[in-house]
Amino acid sequence: MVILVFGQLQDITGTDTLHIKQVEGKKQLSDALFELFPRLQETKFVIAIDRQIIDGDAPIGPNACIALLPPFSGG
Amino acid sequence: MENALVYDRYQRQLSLKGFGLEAQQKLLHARVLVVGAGGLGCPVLQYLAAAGIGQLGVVDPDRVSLSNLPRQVLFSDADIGRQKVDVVRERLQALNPALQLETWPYACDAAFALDIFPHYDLVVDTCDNFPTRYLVNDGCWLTGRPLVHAAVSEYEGQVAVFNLPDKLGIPGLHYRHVFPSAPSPGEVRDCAEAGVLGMLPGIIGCMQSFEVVKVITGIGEPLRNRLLTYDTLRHRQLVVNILPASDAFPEMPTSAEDYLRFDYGHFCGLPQYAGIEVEASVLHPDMRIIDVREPGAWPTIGLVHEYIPLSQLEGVLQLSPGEEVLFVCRTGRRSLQAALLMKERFPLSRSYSLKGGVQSLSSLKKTILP
Repeated sequence: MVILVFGQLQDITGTDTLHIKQVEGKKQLSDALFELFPRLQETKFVIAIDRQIIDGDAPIGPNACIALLPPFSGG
Repeated sequence: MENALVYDRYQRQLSLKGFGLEAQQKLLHARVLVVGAGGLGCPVLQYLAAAGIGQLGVVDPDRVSLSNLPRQVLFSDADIGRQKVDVVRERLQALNPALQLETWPYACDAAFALDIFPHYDLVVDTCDNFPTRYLVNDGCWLTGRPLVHAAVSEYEGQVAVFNLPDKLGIPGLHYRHVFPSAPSPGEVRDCAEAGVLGMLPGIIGCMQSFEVVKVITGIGEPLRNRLLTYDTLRHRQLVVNILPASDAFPEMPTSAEDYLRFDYGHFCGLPQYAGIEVEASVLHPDMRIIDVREPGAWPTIGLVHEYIPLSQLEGVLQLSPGEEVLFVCRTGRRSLQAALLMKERFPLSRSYSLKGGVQSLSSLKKTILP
């Protein structure tokens, strides 16, 4: 599955687009991401699934659009 | 303003399908408060003033510095060292003399938010740091003001509209529904550390000011409860819906009393003295410089300044309201003590401590001071 990575999270993932093995839910996705990139655990970001920011766990369909969004501070 | 002049000046907006006189009248009667006259604030202020917003308020504590100029396009080389809000006043009044303008040359804090936000129809967050972003968000929530948010990072920007009720009066969500708590210091680099090209805040600031116009006039669909992230390098754009977070926000003040007591610096993991420790680049020729080392200390500063050792400071120094003083020592530790002491004794003065001490001053003074 494809994950779009925004902002300074790209410093951790090394890319703006990640390809990882399909997972079934948000919780499973963050576990997989933390295993691949342990530094993400110390970083604030939200996971958007199909253009929705959902609090808590949520299912992820086969062709879901996934994005990792960090907060920005600059102005 | 006379009607004929309104027609002439705003002719292109009046003839725009779906906009017209009714929308223009709404702009002319709108009061918009802009928090921060930096990279985002400059285009926001410029375009809102040009479009005919009736009243603009601007709050910003900073003075124009050389490194502002590539992106803060309201300011010129000759403005270096001047209070930003003074330059903003000059430029915007020249651009649109009918504009009502209020300016405050200090940082937006909780007392300011409670006092001033209610006098404005909406607030635009164009600041450059997390403590102020959370403070503005919480202030808008407490005072019931819609908030048009934007922020930038390297080549990307975010825009959102928070706290805007829908047509049925259902309240909008706020920034904490996306990011309930602040990142720790150093986790997210700001423009000073990470760098930025001026066009980015230009683009994002224009998107932000467009959202202001949409909220005021009711045209189109503002980014209510939605977060736009725009990546200028690849032209990737993502708009996501924000759903209400199920958790309450234990770290969010819920009353004016809580709000006034809430320490946003601490909430964002900053030490208590954020804003007091400053870089040498804030120096300007009118600033009083006081060396708090014991007499005969080395290296010398090489600038016009006074010597008052820290041990004698309290009995000797009197500061008037608004007076700006930069305390200097070898490392920045004693001067921090001095600045904190004077801040406590003269709360209306602006006491600063030079971060990094004399060393950081000598490297910059050649370029900053005549």
